[in-house]
Amino acid sequence: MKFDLKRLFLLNNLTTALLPIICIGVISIAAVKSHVVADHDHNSALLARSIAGQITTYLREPVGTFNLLTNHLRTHGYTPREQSQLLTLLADSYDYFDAIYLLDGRGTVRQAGLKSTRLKERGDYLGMDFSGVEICREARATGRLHWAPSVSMASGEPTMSFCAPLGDGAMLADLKLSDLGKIINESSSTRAFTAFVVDKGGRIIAHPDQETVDRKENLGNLPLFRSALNGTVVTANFSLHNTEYRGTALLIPGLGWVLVVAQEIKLAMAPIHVLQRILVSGLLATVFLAMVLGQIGSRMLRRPFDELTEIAHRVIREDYASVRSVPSWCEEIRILSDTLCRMVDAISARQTALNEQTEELMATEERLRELNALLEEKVAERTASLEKAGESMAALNLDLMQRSSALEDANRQLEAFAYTVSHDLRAPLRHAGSFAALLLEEQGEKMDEEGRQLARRIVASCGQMEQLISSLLQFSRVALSPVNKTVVHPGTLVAEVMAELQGELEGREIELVVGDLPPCLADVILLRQVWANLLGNAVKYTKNAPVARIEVGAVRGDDGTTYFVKDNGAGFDMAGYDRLFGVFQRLHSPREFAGTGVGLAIVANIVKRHGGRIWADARVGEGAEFRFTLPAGPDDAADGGAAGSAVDSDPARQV
Amino acid sequence: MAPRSALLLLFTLFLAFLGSCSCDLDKAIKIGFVGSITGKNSDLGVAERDAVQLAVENVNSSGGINGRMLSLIVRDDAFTPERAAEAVESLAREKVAAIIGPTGSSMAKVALPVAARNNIVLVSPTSSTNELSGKDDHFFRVMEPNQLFARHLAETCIKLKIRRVAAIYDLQNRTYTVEIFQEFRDEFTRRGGTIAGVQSFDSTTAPVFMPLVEKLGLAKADGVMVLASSVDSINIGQQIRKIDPRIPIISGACGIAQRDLVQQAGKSINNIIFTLPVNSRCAKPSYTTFHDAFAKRFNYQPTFAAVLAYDAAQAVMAGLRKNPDPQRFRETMKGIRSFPGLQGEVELDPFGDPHRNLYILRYAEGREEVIE
Repeated sequence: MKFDLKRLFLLNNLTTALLPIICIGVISIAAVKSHVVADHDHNSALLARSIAGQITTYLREPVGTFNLLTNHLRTHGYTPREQSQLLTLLADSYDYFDAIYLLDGRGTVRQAGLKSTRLKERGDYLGMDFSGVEICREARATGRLHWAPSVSMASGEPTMSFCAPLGDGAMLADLKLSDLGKIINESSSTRAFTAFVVDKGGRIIAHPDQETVDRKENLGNLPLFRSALNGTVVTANFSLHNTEYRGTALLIPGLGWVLVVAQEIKLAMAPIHVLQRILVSGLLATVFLAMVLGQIGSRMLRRPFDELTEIAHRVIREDYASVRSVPSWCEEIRILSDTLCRMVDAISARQTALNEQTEELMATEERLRELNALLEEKVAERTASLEKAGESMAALNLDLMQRSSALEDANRQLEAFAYTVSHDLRAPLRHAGSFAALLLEEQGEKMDEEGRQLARRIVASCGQMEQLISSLLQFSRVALSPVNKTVVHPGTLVAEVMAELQGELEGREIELVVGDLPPCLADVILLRQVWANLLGNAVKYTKNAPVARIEVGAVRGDDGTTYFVKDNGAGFDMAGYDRLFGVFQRLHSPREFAGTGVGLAIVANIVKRHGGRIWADARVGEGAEFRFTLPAGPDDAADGGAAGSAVDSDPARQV
Repeated sequence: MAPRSALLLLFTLFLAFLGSCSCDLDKAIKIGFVGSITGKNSDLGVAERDAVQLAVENVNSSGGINGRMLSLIVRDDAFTPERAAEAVESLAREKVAAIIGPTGSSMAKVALPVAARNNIVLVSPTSSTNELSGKDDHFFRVMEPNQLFARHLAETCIKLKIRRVAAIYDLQNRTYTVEIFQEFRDEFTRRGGTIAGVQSFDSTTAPVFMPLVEKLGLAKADGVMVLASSVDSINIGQQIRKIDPRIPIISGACGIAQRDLVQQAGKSINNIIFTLPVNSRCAKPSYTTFHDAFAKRFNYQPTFAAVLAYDAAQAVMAGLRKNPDPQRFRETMKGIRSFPGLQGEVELDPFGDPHRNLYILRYAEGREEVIE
């Protein structure tokens, strides 16, 4: 929601003015209401008790008179004529008696005391049968005074009948209740309360307005009346004749009647209504004043703001020259106007400087645009030449891959061929060797020394040939056998190999140092071959050393473990290193050290097939060191190695 | 927008101001009651007013008529025709939808022109004058006209072998009393009976009854007809019993409402005979429920007048349920041919007069008994 100054002024004025009035008004009304209700309830209860006391006092007199008369008649032997005179005198003297009757034992009226204005009716009442009147029966039965609401036989108005036993008969008097209304009226009218008496049946029997009594209204269903009938002093709201009242009801002691003292709520709450009217009038006046003041205030404020807005529009149109300071009585607006003017001056100056810089920038931008175009051209040229180079590189790569694949195929075929040839050549060679040995053994004596020498050379050549073929076959097998990688503990393999070499070590002094050999992922059979060949070489080439020293160990690296076998044997000339891992390549003469020249080729092949690499370092006469890398096995596999098995026995560790 | 906001605020404050006033925005349907609540016939008027009040309370406690509450405005005619006319005029100013009343025939006769002028329907519980029978007017009632009562009384006398009847009546309600007596006399003599003696009096002049009763010539009569208010009927009854303790008293007062009056009647009430349009021994649930509720609410037994007034209220409510438009209420009432009364369905003829059964009631040894 958007607000303009006028609304803000109005809202501000209304809020500032109304909120305190409303708050104070509501609190005041609540406080006054509480006070008025409490005051009203206190007054009505007080008045009710007072009127109840007056009614009791009022009734005491006729009852006393009635009792006096009864006792008087009881103790004095009056003649019927005297009785009649006495009753008439009494009825005439005391206005509250409607009529007084003397009844005989059968309930028949024997004497009637009427007011002198009604004396002519006396004949009607004499001889009447009142045997059905309940209080007369009760009075005679209990021997004491009884009373009950009744109706005047003369007027039909409500009365209160008293009856007391007298001799074998009774005395009955009708008491006018209209005087009760007068008492109530005198007590309550000055205090703006209405009071009335209700008998236990719920009928109004005394009211300041006699017509209300005559109407014989029944209030038996009023909760106020019912509660009071139980002996409780009740103050509550009630509705009567479509009018709301608040009043107090109490049981008049000894009578069983309920006295209700009430006031119209409209009247009782008049102070609150006055306060409400004052509050509403105050609110309306405040709203009016707030609107007028809001109008004036907003007009006074809007004029300089309008002018300031106009200045801002001129600034937008870059019309700086016509900007002038706005005169105002308000210091803040004057400062705002001066500041705006200064700001406009500053903007004007900056605009000029900005224009100049913009021109320079535009020239620079033009130059940059040209350089960019040139650069883009050169980049395009370079990109084109790079794309061509990339294409030729890709073609070369493809060619290389094709050749590599062809080479691998040829290698595999060659290995297969070598296996086939060595396997197939072995049998005829063995036959040739066997037959030459047989010839030498059986026909040697028949042959001359040269023949025997030749035969021996055949046997020896065949043996050498078979050894070569065996080596070749072994090499082929290694090359062709699949690699089944598991977790392998090299320490166990070293121990096994060294045990196998025990025969060659006899009579020699050898110092074997085996370091920590971590587990690795490898084919256990092939790896065992690696250790057998390397350790075999170490044992072989240290045979001339006085004390042979063979050291086996490993170094952990990021890409796996590097194992090494180091000896202090014959070593070799590093000049022949390129041939070192070739098949049938030897760096020493067979006479010096026996061998076929296949062992290291096998080792290199196995290491390569495990994804590792092998290299060596040596010096002639000082020994050699062979190192190869293998992918590392899991660390915890070391425990399995200590148990004596080269392969991890736990299937879960196998790869 | 600012003026609009201010107007809205002012309007809100105005509403608050209105709310602070105790303005009467009640939408209740007003119905009036006119009856003799005070005076010697107040037993009828009070019982009728109480019954109508109970009917209104009952209908309001069950949700009103078509969702609208009823508001009862009571006026007293003090058993005087002038006051009855004033009461109707006053209720017309209150814009009541209909008036239940008046109690007495003389009052009804005077009140009717006033009601007609103001286009207000009168539904009387106990007005029985013949003068208002068979007319297309604003007057409806739930009690049979006098003619029927008088004939019924005459027939009853013949049945009870009362051949000579002395009569005494009040001139104050002559529309009822004189009319009943004349109708009775005609029918009774037609059936072979004779009138032994006639006395009249004006109840407003504090009459002395003993000389009147003495002049009736009870020695030559088999029964006495008394046509007066309840109080006067009891007073006259007492005088009659002084002369003749057993002679049957044929009463037109239609019963005695106030128990304290019955007490004052003493033994004189024995052998008083009434003809009533209500069976006080009725066992219909609607009547017994009403009887108990009335006694509980007002602390006295409902009289025949209370029953008729309750029925009159039911007739008005039946009309209001049909069409609450006060301008057309007369036509609406004319359209009601029957409505549920306390002692059965009450049928109305096109002139608003009912057809009900009549019952003969006799007080014997202080108790009521229905003898027919």
